[in-house]
Amino acid sequence: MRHVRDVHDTAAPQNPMLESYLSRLDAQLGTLSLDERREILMETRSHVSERAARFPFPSVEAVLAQFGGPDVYARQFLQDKVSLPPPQQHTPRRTALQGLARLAAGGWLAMPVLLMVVFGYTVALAAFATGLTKVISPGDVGVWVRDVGGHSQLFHAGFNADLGGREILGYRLAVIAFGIAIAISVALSAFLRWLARTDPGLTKSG
Amino acid sequence: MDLAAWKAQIRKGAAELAVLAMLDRGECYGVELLDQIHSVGGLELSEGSIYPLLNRLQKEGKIKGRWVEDAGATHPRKYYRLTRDGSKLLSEMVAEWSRFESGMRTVLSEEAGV
Repeated sequence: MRHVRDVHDTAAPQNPMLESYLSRLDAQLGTLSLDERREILMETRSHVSERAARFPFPSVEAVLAQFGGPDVYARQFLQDKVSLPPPQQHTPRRTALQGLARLAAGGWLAMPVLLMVVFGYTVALAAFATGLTKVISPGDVGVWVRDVGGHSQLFHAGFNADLGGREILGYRLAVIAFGIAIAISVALSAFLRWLARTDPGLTKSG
Repeated sequence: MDLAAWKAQIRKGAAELAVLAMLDRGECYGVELLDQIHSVGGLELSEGSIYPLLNRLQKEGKIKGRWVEDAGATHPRKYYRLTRDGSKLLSEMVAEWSRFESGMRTVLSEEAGV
């Protein structure tokens, strides 16, 4: 451990008792940073010098006695060093269901948002069903085009629509449908969790 | 709990408020602060307590210290002043103290009235 050598002004006459006290205090303050120890020693020296130079001119020993022993005095600083960790910003995890419940319990302001959320989930469910059907029964769902007069013309997309023509997406339709379903579900769930965590004013009844 | 321990607990809590309130009046160094507090009486803040307290308040950013070489002084002095955070804390502590004092006054007057 480095000891504090510079206790500010070495030009002033040094008192052996004060020097000894400061040296022991420095040793006791070992776990503090060098800068902090230096400040403490400088301030202690300044205090003792100030008091000893003032009426009724107490001895250095008497002034030091006011601090208590170096170990006792040092403990006061070290106790202050032990500080509680900063409080954790703990936010309980919220679920999308809680957000939905808040919307459902909200007033008329929340109603359009609730309807949009329900619509969004319905679209996601339909997309998922489309993807699933494409995997299970590929011929029943798709996007077909039929050539009309040399031009490609889209004539149907959906279920049981094979009225002739060429199916253009194949299994890519399943990938697209699942992608849409996942994207909508994730976005809506994130929105509902945010709603459960915060209170943007929508969920207050009004 | 004996009286001495009870008094020590009360003073410990009040010391921080007293130091902040004194610094609110203007920049002060340790000896000056102690003398001012002792002149008021009742607090009995010691040398061994005030510097650790100042050290902590400074680390918490409630006060700020600077070394000054005053003319005629044998050693540089560390002057402290309140920071904005310290002023805010002082206001909150004063409000809390007033509520506490008022409550205690009521309790004690009711006690005396019985």
